[in-house]
Amino acid sequence: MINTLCNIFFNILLMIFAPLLMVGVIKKVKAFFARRKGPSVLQVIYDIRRLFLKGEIISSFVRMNYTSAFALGSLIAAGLFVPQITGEAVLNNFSMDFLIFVYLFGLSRFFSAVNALQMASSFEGMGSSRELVFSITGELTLMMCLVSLAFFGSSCDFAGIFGAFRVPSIDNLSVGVLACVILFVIMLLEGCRVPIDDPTTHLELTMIHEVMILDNSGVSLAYFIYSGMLKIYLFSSIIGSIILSEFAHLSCFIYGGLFLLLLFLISVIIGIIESVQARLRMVHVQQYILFAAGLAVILLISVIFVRI
Amino acid sequence: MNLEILLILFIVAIFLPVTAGTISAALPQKMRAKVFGTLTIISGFAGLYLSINSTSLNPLTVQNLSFEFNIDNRFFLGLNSLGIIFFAIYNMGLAKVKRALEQQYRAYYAILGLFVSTLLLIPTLPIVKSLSCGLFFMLIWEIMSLASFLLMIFNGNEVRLREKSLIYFIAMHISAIFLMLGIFAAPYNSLFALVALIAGFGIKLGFFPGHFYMADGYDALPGASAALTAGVMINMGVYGLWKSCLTFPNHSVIAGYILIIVGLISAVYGVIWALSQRKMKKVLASSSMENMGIIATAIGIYLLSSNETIRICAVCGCFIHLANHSLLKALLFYTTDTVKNAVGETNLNKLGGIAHLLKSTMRNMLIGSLGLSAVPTINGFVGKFFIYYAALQLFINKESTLSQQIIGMIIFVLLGMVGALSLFVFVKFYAMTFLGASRSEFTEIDENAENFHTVFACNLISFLCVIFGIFPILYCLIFDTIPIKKGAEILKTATDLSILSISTMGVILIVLCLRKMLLRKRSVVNTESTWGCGYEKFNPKLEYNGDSLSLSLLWLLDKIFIRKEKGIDIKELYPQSFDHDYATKEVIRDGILAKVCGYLLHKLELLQVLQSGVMQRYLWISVLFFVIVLIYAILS
Repeated sequence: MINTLCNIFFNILLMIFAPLLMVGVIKKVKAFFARRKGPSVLQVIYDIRRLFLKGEIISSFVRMNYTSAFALGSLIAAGLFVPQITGEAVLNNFSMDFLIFVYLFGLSRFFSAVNALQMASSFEGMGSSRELVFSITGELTLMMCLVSLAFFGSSCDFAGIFGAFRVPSIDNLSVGVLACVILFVIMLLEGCRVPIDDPTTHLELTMIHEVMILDNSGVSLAYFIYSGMLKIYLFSSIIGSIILSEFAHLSCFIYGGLFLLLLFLISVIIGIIESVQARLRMVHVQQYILFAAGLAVILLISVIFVRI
Repeated sequence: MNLEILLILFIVAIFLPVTAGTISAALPQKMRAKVFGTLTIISGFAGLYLSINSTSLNPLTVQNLSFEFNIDNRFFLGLNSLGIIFFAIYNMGLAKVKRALEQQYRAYYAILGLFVSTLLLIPTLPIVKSLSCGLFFMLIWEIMSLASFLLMIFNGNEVRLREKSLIYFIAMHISAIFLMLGIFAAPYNSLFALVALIAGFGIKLGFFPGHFYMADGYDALPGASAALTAGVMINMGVYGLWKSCLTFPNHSVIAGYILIIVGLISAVYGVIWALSQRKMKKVLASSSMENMGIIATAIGIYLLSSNETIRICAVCGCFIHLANHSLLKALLFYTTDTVKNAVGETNLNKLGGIAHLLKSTMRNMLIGSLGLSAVPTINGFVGKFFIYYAALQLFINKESTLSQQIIGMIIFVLLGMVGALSLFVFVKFYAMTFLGASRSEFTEIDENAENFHTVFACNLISFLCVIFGIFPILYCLIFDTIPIKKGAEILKTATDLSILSISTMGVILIVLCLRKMLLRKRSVVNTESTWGCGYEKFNPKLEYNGDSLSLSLLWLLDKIFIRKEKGIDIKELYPQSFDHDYATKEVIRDGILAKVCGYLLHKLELLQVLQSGVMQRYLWISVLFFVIVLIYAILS
């Protein structure tokens, strides 16, 4: 009972703060590469707090001012199915929890797109269109990756999938690396990071996710910004669970420490990518996702060969 | 219950709608909807009761004819009865709506009554049990198709409407020819019969490439009867498909492969086709093609696999998805009809900004759109979840052969892509209908479009959609007809899905409450207009419409959906004002079929040589014909 409560407490605690800190680290790394001091790692938390304390200015066309809450709520619900710092998910032993994870992301996307379209703005319409189009290839890739991992682990849930990576072997290593690369690309797509989208750009025509929240303010804006960060954290948790599955037998403190270290490393990698690479041209984004889809096909074929 | 009473209920269920239709046709217009609605509701409840409690009636034999009340028959009977009850309630509300009354001519109810009766009779009819049963099935099937055709063709006087109706009529009769072939060939060549029956029912369900009539056909149907067609009549295609596949167990593997391939192509094609549509009813019709494809895939998995868990999951997925589709599609057609009755428009490029006019309809359409996007917490996810589960088990199960594993994997991945696409379709469908700024000026707004009956019917369906989404276990209690009760795994999955829905709703509620709490002492200003993208005054013309939203995807699929653009040939430096139009044509109907029909018509023109108008030449042709017949008779 105490273990379960601890599991829930630590997972939820991390789900609240880790996304903010990860983005803080990314900004710090970017500042380091630009030879600047940069804002504090905690600056993102202050920004979100500032938005929480503000009122809202809502467009007169808005008919559903609860979309931001639905978008964020469904992502948090998706997080309940992902193993995090304790190596276990809040809601454990769910069959097909990875499918639920993908579909809860879909629920969040539905409300994000509806939120943008209700503003009657051409820019936000453009952002929704892009988000929905890219998500099709993204979801196809993600499905291929997850079904490969399910086949590799002969399991229908995250716990079983990660369990397959516990024994170190060359097969596990190659499949794990390939899966992590694919999940990393999907993370950049879903989390709207460079090279797919640039959250710091000022040019609306080149935006995807950021342009969808142009007319949001206050708490709603905070919710949408936090949603983007949460996506990065959740995908990082999946990647982390694959990499750290070999250490699942260690004590929970060591495992937790390694997990936090890994989150830090992923943030640093994202920061380095954002520092050394520019955002892709819009026509090349689809090719970039298709590259991940190609990797997913290779992963699929390789797991079939490994297992048969 | 007493057999006689069950028999009376069966007779009431079948004959009451026809009688109600005939009586209503004779009544004054104000009373028609109420009389027809009340009697049809009684008939619907009779059907619903029979679906729960008619095991003792099985099988009912009347001379050479047979009526079956097996588990699956009762499931379809129950589903149809439920759909008919909702229709009757909704239709009663249309008596107050001016635009709907214009469509309700005197014979409308007589045809509708006939249509409803056939929908309650068909689920009890065997298809290939004997020749007489098969022919009786075909007779009732034909009446059903003709009734829906008459509803279409009497809907207006436009030439385009007649064209749409005639294409539907031709498609239905191509389907009927296949069905007749199947029924006649059943005793002699079972494989041929099975393929013919799949083709026949496949056209009814809109499987690729027999979908060419679907979008236009459903669009031509008047008001609420489109919901009856898409939510109830289409179930009969699945009924036929299911029964046909069970009748020939020797060929179940071949049938499984056929259904999976055709189902997946239809699902992917249907959802992209839905994305290219402008009219609301056309979007929904194309989405039916997608969902029927998914259901066919589930039946295919059931036939293909020999593993009991996979088979049970597949059949659960098939029936639950069918029930969900029936509810959700009816809900969306009713809300579409309410929108049309209120503002007189169903073009997604011209709608928008009507959320304040139709608040209940907006809420119900949101639930329907979420359901058909198959996102968790609404019932649409449950059926798909079971199908995914069956496909994944087919892939990872060690008993499966390599081909089955590959098929399982392809199904899983493609269903994922179809899921993302259907989400796109219903974001567009919902947002373009209600949200944003109004893209047209609606001069004649009918406030009666949302009245007690129309709202009550939609609310009732929405309530069921949400309740079944939260508690999928209810499917087991209501329909003990589908084999859900077997297998602890199914019960566990249903419980898991309940926990999923409740936890998701709980989290969303907490986040909503947090927002409300944070904004309690802050100002929420709701007067500022959206940023006009550099323009000083906002103009709805700048807004994204249905076409522009989906264009970025359709550009990638130029080969499948032919784009026709006009008005962009600008040569002057300062061009005058011009109209730009963009339309997406479909490759089967507007490409292949149009070319084939054009070629045939051209060749048939050669036969005009015979049509000279000279009597002597006609006599010579007759003599020649008789001589050929005589020679053939002598030689044989």
